[in-house]
Amino acid sequence: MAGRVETPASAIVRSRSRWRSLRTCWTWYLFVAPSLILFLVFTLFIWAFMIYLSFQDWSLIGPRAFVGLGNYRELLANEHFWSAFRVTLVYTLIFVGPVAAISLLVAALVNQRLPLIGVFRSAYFLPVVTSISVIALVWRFILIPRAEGPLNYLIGWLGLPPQEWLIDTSLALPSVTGMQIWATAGYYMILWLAGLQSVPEELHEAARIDGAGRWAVFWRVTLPMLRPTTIFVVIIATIGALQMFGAVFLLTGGGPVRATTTVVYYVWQSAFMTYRMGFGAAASIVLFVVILIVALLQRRFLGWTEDIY
Amino acid sequence: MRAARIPATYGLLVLLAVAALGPFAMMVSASLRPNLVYLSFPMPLIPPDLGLANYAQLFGRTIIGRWILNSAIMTLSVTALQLLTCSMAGFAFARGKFPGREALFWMLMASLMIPSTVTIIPLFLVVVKLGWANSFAGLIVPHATSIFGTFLMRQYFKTIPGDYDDAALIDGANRWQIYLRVVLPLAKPALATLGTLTFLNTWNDFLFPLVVTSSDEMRPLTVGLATLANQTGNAGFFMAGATVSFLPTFAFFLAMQRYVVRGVSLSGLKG
Repeated sequence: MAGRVETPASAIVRSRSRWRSLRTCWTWYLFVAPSLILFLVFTLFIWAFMIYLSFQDWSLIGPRAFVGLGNYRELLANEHFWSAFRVTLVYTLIFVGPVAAISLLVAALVNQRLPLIGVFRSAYFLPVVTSISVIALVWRFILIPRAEGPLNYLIGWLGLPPQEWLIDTSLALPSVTGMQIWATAGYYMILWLAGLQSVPEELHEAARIDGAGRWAVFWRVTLPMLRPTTIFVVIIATIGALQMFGAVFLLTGGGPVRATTTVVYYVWQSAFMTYRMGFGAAASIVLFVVILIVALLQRRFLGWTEDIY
Repeated sequence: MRAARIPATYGLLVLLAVAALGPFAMMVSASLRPNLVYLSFPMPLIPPDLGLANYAQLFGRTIIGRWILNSAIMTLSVTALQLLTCSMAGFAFARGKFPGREALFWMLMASLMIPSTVTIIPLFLVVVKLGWANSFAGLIVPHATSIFGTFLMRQYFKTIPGDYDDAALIDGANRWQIYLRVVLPLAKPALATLGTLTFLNTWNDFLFPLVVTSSDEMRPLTVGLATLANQTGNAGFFMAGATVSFLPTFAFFLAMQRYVVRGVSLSGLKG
């Protein structure tokens, strides 16, 4: 009988413990609050706002006007947008493969136990921690079109005539790509290196005992074992390439004649040069959808399965 | 056979090192030559006309000192705030029991891979609406937390045994004291990794500060350096600007190398 009766003392204990559990809960919410509020405003809200904006015509100062799908329709009929789209895809194609291959070979080279190897790894990584403004400023001089320009001088050794790197419409994008490969290869080298170090050494030894040469071991044993890393490197490099902006802004200003105007550069021009906020938002959303589709396709095409790790 | 391969390996390593470091060597060398109008090859690595006139011109003609200060204020604030907000949220997601924890966590994780460049227009408009355009608040607050950082901290806190918390609870500590006195000191490696990556990402960020700032006095170094390129001057002048901008991240990288590499393996650095 005594156990069932609600005494004042037990009620106090119970309500106190309930109050205490609520209070500890509230503490947890306080811990999450700063991140959550910032997330709600600067991620969730701006996404909703961007979608809303993409249906508006707004020049920042004047009144907003609802235009329905007008921005999207105009975008898809706009040759400059298609040109930017094409430039971005070409850039992605000529950037991702070479940067992945070069950084893999460099990673294989520095994945050896040799004296001073850490110094070389750091040297190759240095461009990655350097800001794009510094890199572009230096490369602007490396790529000067005169015969005594550093790169023209170097290709002169190979008997090639001087090139107008950033002036020639067909050379400007490859030049920017070359700079980007130089600037980012060290980043992918570290990703490959992590993958290489997870391949068990016994596998290599077993293959060598079976009489396989160095290249055969690399192609037949190492590379298949690196499939998760390959998928990761290709997806990360592609997502980065589709968002290319800084190098183009700094090195070529999108030129010559739009030869290096990427989608993000086009978005920037629409919003911050011609003040067409809604139009720029629509272009951003199209770019996001493209990035999403490409990333999903790569996951499927390269055979991503959840059990890969 | 193995021994014969080692000189060839080093030959290749040195060649690649020249390719990686050559442009930086050229930059520093050219910046020390007051009379260099055009950059042309072949050029001597050790300048014949060594002098600091380009640097004097740089600090005289531009407000690069102010840009460095802006970058430092922005970067240190963002880094400190991210360490605080990410470790707090990470602690709650790792240890807390509260309604909605899983839902909130997965909502954050779902947006982890969303590229930040595509939201630059609405981000700019929100910053303007808040009255933060061309101000430190505008440069700092939108980046005061990071989903990647929250995830990193949560994963690390999960590796710290809960026994420590329980022992502190029995001693009468509350959640805040456990967070500050017990868990945070044990999470120093994760905090160092996150801090290093945040520092580099913020210092090197370009599109966001380009859009948010409008006056010369508010530019961080990366954006200020870009406006420098529109000025006229000889090659040595520009290379001095590049060198001054290069040195902070170079020194930081030398000091924090271990954490940079660890962070990259976790893919927290923008490629």
